Amino acid sequence: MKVGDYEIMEGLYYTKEHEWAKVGDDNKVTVGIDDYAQKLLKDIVYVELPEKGTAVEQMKAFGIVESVKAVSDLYAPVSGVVADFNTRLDDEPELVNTGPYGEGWMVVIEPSNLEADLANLMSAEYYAEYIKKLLEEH
Amino acid sequence: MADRTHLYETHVKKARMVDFAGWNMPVLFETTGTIKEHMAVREGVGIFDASHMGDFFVHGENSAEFLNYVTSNDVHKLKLKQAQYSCVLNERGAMKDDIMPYKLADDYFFLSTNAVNVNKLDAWFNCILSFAKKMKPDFDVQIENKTHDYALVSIQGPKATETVQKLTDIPLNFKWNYIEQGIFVGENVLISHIGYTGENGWEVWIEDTKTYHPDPAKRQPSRKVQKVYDAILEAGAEFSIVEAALGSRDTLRIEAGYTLYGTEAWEEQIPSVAVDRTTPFEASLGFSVDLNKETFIGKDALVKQKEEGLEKFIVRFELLDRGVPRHGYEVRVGEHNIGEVTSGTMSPIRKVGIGLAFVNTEYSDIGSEFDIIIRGTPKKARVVEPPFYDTKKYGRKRTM
Repeated sequence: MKVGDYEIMEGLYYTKEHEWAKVGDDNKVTVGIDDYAQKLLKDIVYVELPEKGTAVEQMKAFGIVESVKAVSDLYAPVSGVVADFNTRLDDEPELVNTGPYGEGWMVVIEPSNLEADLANLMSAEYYAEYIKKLLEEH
Repeated sequence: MADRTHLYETHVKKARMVDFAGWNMPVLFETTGTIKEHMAVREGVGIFDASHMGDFFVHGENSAEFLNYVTSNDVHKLKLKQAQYSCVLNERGAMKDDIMPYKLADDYFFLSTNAVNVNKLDAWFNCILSFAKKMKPDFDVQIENKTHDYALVSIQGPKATETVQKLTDIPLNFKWNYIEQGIFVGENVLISHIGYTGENGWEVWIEDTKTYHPDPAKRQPSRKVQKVYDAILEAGAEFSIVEAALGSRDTLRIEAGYTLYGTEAWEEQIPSVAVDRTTPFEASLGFSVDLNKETFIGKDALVKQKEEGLEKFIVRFELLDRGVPRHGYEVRVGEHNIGEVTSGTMSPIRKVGIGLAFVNTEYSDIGSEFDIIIRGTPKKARVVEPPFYDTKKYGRKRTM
């Protein structure tokens, strides 16, 4: 669904820091940043992701995304352990701009507390409202 | 309220704006972004609004003498219509600004200065001048600060000359660092063969005093300046000309290895919030200094520094590990701090971290290696000769 110029993909969970979380059939959670975040950052030049096996905690920083001008933390939508990370972002960080929900995926987390953690996240519809409010404030 | 250039009204609608040196300026254009703007300048042509930069006119019989006193280089070396790179110094030899003085006549000079130092230079030049006139009442110099009167557009890239030549009868075959006056899109302008990106390019000054108002919000848009700007966009359309902003101005000048006042160099301010940094020698700008001049403000300090040797120096480095170096990041060798990063970015062409750093002289030779500390992790870096791009393929001296 669209909110202004921003594409909010349905079926995903969102954090207020603009990360999305997709629960796979295997209950593993794929994570990235959304269209609003990538447009705000503009050209992404560097992404720093944790190694496999790293423990992450909900809403704590797990990595870094850098645009030309700014350094931003990435916040884990759910707690658990990093099962995989997108190695393509080493050489092609711009994939986060061109495919924030697809090729720009960042990590896959093996969750430790999925049901409880999901309850703390926003549904796509709720997040769209959140973005609408943010845009009105500016 | 932040100041506005003649092009503010159109830019504010399509650019992300920032406060830069007290001016409301585009940092990037929404449809392109910094990287696309950067590559357009390297591969085609881009146009920048640089109107915030300072414009001082110095006239009178004693103009050259005055300028030679307040700057580091020697204006007597200038041919007619030529510019030289020069620094305005304080008594300690530290840089108040780096400027380009142009000799329009023996008694008439035009100074292009950094935006951030305009008010300071206005005060400084007038202070020194009133001192000179107290000592010598017939000292013939008048200084005009015409920063608000002039718009400046900078057209840079391998296709800049072809673009700009369409709009003027002035033959654009004159040398780098020279200026001409003439008609451009039907308006009287100053046009200089100069730039700050490493590419070939032209800077065009257009005077428009009619739309000025002390309250920026009450200024009318300048039809004259907009006409010239739009004509350049139309002329450059066949080369896919791009509007470029401060973000790409910075990535381009870093890739070219150029210093910027405020990041590589500054002087102590009132109230004291910083210490002097740097002298032109420390900033790798020794070519802007002519110690053969009999006297100039800062000369004694520079002579002393030359005799004693430099403790620290501005170097260009590239990262050997992944990462983006940024202003303020620590530079270390082992456990020892040896300096700091002054400017840094991810090179759009090379896709490695690049930048400038102020380091102990022992580590300033080409090939020296040190660590840049990024979020606590040391990343290896090596001192290199600028520019960072392959000069056969990019830059105004390209051969391919």
